[in-house]
Amino acid sequence: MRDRSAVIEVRGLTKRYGTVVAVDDLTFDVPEGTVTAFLGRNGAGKSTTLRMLLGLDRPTAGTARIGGRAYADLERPLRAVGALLDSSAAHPGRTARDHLRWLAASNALPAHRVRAVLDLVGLREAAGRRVRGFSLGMRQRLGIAAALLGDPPVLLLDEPVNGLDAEGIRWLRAFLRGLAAEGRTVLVSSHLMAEVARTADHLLVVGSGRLLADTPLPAFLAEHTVGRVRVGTAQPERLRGLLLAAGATVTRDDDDGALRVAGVDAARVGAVAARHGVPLTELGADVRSLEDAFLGLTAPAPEAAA
Amino acid sequence: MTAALRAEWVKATTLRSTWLTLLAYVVAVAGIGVGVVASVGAAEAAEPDYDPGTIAFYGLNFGHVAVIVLAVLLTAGEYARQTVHTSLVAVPRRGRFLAAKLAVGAVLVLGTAAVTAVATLLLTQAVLGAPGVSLATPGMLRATVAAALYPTLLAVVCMAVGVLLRDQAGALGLLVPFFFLLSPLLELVPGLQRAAVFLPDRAGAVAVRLHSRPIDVFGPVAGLGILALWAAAAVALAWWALRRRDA
Repeated sequence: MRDRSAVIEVRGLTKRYGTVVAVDDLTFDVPEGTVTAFLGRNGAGKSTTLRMLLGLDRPTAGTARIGGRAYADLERPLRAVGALLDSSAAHPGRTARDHLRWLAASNALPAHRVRAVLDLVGLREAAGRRVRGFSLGMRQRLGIAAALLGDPPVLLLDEPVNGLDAEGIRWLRAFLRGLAAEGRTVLVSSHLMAEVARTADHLLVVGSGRLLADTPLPAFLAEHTVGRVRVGTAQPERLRGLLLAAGATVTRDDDDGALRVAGVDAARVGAVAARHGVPLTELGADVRSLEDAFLGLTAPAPEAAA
Repeated sequence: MTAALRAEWVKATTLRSTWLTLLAYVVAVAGIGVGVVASVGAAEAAEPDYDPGTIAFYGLNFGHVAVIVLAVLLTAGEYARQTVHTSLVAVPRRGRFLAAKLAVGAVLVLGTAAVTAVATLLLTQAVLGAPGVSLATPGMLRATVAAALYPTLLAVVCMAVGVLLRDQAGALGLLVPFFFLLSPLLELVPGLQRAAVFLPDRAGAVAVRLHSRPIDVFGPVAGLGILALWAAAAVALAWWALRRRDA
């Protein structure tokens, strides 16, 4: 029943530092209740865009609004928007609980929210410890707890995957999906594009400050991974021959020996393997081809003649 | 505004460095005051230009180092650790953020300095014995009040400089040598004396004296006023910079 109206509206957003253009006439919407991945290489302008959305940096031109208002005009901003900027933004000499206590005080949030978010991110045991002794992953969790403190309908997360181990990344993925399932709007930036893309409903891809793609995830996948399949088997040479005979192009993954197949889809690969009794250990979309697609898309443009 | 004040209060009081610098202030002002009075107090009291305020509060100059460190940690310290981004996301109105931060810093210094001023007066005069003065001595109450206001206003100046410079080492490197060494020395240079007394800390020091010196071209209350003007100017500059700069 949700209307998918735009919660975040960015219009002609531009940020110049002297002659360097960090963000170049960016225009996009983030619809309500979705996870939107904001992807690009390091230095593509993602953080600068988020900082302008949060009123930290002043745009050279254009506007960035959340719920129709500039961030600085929100009276209790933490109740409207939760933000994760970078993992170092808690004072090392303060305990996790005290960090959240001052944030709660700043927006007149009830004290029980501090305990609630500490539990939510799994930092209950560490609440009384100084942030100085936290691992990068724990700092990230504390940052996410801070973002959720005001129970906000909108979340802006800048590189939340940084510093998380494999388990942490999986936790974060499920967590982001959960937030969207609750009807929240999540804008999550990352330079680990394929890693985060699969969590999202919608993709925004930027390069050199410009918008390169603004597409729903299924459309992006259809365009970039159709017919690109990854197959694992104990009989790679045999399967390779069979697939070549079926008209596919097949290469071996140098890292783990899995086959990377183009030209036929996963269903066809499965059918061929089944017909010839080749046991498969793995069959799915070739995510590395997704990573390749992102890298191709965001390849630095040749420098314009100065 | 109440919420912003509460947030700054929690921030300041949950850092060990805040309490350590305030403790250092108490020890410096009271300890050095008592030490000076105990060693040279009696001899000084016999001098014709004896000023009970200046001698009792001799430790203020040293206490100011603690005040400067606290002021810089509360302001430039936020930039050193990038917590200022978190702060401005929580309180995006920059004027409100600055006002809350300055108010909390000033209240912490004022409370500490007021208690320290009274304690220092009582302790030093008890040590001094017969030639000692009390709050009932004409001018001594005013000097004691000044000994609380002077460090407070100086803290405001230093917090504003911390916001302006956004750099802990830079702010400390500027403020400590300036207020601890340069400014007191300038007051001793014959040609510069009458100008030097207008510097923030020198103007404040005038307010702690009971008797004017020949170089004091203004009285104690005006001294605090001049210091307050410095503080107001520094705050205005900090506010202007904070509003127009990217965080």
